[in-house]
Amino acid sequence: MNNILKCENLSKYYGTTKALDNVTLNIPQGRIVGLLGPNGSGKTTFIKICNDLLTPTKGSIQIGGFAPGVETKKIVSYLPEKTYLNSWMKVSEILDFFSDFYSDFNRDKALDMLNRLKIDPKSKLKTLSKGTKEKVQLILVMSREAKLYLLDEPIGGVDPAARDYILDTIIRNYSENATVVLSTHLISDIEKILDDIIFLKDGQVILAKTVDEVRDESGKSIDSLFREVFRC
Amino acid sequence: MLGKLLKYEIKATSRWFLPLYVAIIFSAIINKFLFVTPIVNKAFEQNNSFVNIMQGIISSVSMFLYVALFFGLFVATLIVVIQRFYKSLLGDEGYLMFTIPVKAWQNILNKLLVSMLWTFTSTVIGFGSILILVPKEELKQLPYVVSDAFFEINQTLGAGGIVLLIIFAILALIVSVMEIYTAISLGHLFNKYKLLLSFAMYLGLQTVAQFLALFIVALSMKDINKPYVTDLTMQIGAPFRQFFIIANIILVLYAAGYFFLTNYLLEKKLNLE
Repeated sequence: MNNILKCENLSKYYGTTKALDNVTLNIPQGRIVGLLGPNGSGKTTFIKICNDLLTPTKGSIQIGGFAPGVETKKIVSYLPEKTYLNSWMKVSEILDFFSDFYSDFNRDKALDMLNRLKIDPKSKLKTLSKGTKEKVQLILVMSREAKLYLLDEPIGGVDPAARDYILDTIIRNYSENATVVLSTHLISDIEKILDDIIFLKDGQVILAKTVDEVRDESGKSIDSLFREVFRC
Repeated sequence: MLGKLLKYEIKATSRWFLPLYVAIIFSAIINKFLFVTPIVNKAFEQNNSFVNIMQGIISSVSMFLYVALFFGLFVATLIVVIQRFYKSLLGDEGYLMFTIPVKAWQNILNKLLVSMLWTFTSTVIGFGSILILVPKEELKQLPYVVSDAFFEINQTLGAGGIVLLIIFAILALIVSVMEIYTAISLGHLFNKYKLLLSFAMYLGLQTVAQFLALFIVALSMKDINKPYVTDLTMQIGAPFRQFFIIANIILVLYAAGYFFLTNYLLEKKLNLE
């Protein structure tokens, strides 16, 4: 199986704090991977390095055979935990922006999803509520036919009803052979869609297995295993 | 990709500048009518104190508005230069601008070019609005004043002196903008008080850059007072010419230095909140 993401001894230090500590991982194509861990375990740091938003202190990382840069940005679709939408554009204008800069952006798919969520493409981003903005952002990210989706806390800020819709959107819209990496600490909500899990603790990978392996070996759900591993 | 970036940057900034330009031109036209046209002057001449007072109030207020807009134009240009870099690259919007497939230098060049564009148009509009206010008779003198100025400059700086001055102005603008970008990028290295520290960085850069430039100019022009240079057979403008050539070289080096430093900081040291 081809690996879409490979990293070796990846580390990021802030002064003496180790946000990421010797992470070695191989993530294959065509999987839905849960990047799980408590707050401050290094999930966001890892995703930011994958997106070239942070430079690692040491170690190497390759996505689709390239180090993070222009080539990887063409194939990685990233949903940050922040709203990066500006306030002056209309929804349709941000669609134009995505069409202009990402050759894999499927505008019709985006319009279709907006329509189903009853978001008017003519409305200004400024007038949208925080939750609606997050939905627009998720639609933008999932309307790309990318090879790797990196979703940082995609369900953190929304209510449980919207969570189901979002997870449904993710499953239904990621392209075949593409991999989705989801970071979250809300495990029970996403457990049912995951193929693989990666547990991060204090910047280190403490467990990387398929969900089936976990169930067979421990006989536990991911949620209860998580509670056990990360007991305070 | 740079072309696409420029398109969106101009779109994002024009919604500030275009209304401002319309307002200042409109205000200049109103002031011209209040001050210059004979109809208004007649009203002043009438011995009606109420009309006089009202005229006085209206024209003062409108003149005040014009002056405020005039200075506002340049303050707005400066604010947009700062804000478009700080907010759209180093704020939350940076998450998008740094994950589209473009290089950091393209993002910087985009901001720089659009900042230069608006500084240029603001200057043209600002002085254009003054021309609207100048009475017709004096406006007729303008071509002579301009050609005299060109003549004087070429006389002082030697042939092509005006080109030297234009290059100087463009380079000075690039360096001023890049100095701001470098300061903001340096200030962003800190976890707290980023804007305050950016300002401190700016003062620091400005002081060092000015000192260094003066030092180099003084050093390279120390021969100027020697007898052979002031020889009457030489052009009287030789020292000025030499000064601008040296200044232009220094500015090119500064611009390149600031650009590479900013690029390095955004590529290797970027840390969005």
